[in-house]
Amino acid sequence: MNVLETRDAVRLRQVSAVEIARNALDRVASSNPDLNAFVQVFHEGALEQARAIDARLAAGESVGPLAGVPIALKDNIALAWGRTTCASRILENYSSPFTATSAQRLIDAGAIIIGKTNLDEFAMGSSTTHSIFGPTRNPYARDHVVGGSSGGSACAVASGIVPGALGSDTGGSIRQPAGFCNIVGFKPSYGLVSRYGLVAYASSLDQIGPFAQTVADAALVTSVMAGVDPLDSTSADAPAPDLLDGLDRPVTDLVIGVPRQARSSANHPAVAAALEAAIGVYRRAGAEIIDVDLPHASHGIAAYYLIATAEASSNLARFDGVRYGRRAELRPGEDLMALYCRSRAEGFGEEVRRRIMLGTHALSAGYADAYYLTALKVRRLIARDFQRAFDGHGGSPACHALLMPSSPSPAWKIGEKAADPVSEYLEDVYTVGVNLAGLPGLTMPGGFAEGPPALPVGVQLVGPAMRDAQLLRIARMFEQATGHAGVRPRA
Amino acid sequence: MSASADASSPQLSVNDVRKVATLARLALDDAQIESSRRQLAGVLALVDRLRELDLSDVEPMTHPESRVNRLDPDEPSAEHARTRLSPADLARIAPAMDGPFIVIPKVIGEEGGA
Repeated sequence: MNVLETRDAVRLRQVSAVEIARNALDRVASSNPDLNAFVQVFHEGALEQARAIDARLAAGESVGPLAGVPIALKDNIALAWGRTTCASRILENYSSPFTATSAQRLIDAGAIIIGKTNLDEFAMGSSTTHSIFGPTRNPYARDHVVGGSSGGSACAVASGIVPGALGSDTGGSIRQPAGFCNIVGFKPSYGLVSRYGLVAYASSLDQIGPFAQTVADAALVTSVMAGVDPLDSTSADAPAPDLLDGLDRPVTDLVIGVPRQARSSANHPAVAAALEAAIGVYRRAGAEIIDVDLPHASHGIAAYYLIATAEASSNLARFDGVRYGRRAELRPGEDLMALYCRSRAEGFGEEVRRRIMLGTHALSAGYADAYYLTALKVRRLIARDFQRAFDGHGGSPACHALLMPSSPSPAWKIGEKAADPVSEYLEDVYTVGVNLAGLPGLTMPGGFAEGPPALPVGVQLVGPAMRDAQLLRIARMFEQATGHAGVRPRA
Repeated sequence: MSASADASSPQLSVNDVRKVATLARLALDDAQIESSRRQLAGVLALVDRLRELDLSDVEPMTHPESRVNRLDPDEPSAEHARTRLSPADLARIAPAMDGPFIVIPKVIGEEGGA
């Protein structure tokens, strides 16, 4: 059952919330040893939440829009129980004293928090292999990566353990694993969902969003989380939209732009085929398909890896063994500086150290203009390219959305890119621009590569900022016309 | 490479990388410094392509939104109350307690102390 079906069945008391929660916990127990999607499971807490929902229903009281729906949280989203590890040794025993606003709003809406999911350490990675808990496995091919960094949440939904899960997306960390796992992954506009309680990687890029099996589920979960939060001054100061309202209404006179740069010869054949097939779906639905140019798209990776790592080097400064995190043992005669340096070197994994080093270099005296400031200017150009496509430019009509791959290739084999970090960075070519510009982006199931293994391929829609409802309607049109989402992995 | 504005070459010396590690508060051994040097040089070669662009008239963009941060009224709200920590909450997450006090390592006044 998906999110809406579960919610409706619980509300109508066709099934109890406790039964739903037990089933989800049973699926974790049977599937997780193989998949490694979950890093913590809240057996008692989940059943307690479920019993409270059943009690309300039995008493005839109203319940929220996610009543009884099992949800998993990426383990960089704070909860006031359990641990919030970010899959890092430095936070392996960290308990948050508070709950993230996104999670709190789901809980207030009746969601049952089943557990926390695996990720690339501090959300830095595209594979969910850079984790103290080991790699999460792709449910469609166990020796392949699940994508990342929100790979545990993607896997938890794709394998049917939970109907919905939260991830965070700084450069594609929701959209890329959704594509690798044949599910819907939605990164809302920057500011639509509060970041309070999300352990910051790159604050100007980070955004929380859902994984789900359907567009409607993603819309519902996002609606529950959306809206201004006094605890996050970057949350958008606008009324929370009801993203389910009008979702089934097709967008009339739809114009879809296909970036010239998205039809790269470097795309895997299955990715190229899925994009062309998706174009055909929209054309048959009556959309006008136009070519658009994003001339600075090829510079997105470079700008992103400078800006994200610069922000990370600042955000992660607090993990020094004193303010936060596992502290190295103080040796006789050692000063505070040595304690910081050893705590951090011992506590952070290789990829996190690498990004902190890059970001520190990019911000250091003598280099900040050449690297960080340059990247911020390129960011402006990238955002302008998108805006021109959405406004109409050079005689072209205004696009409602852009259509492109979610990644240039399907999932790769675990370990295949371990020796060359840059090769993993290059996989983010179709996702990072969306974060740099603060736009909403959504990955939906786009078909499968020829097997074996028959790996899923995602297609991505990108829309204008704060037009999330329209983007979801356009995604729903695609979903209604295709059956890719129905092909589930074998248990 | 000297710390000048001229970063046109991605070549990094071992000393450059040691300096970055110090700024980043990371105690790296010689092997880690050398592997960091190679990997940083690889990434810098990628990002050096940005210099192909003419950026003379482009304003830097630090944030997706043009407006400045929203300021709250100077009064407590229910949301802020949610974040208030009790002494018991703090004790739960502190690494070590001595009665009502949080225990930290003694670093001031020791030989070589900060």
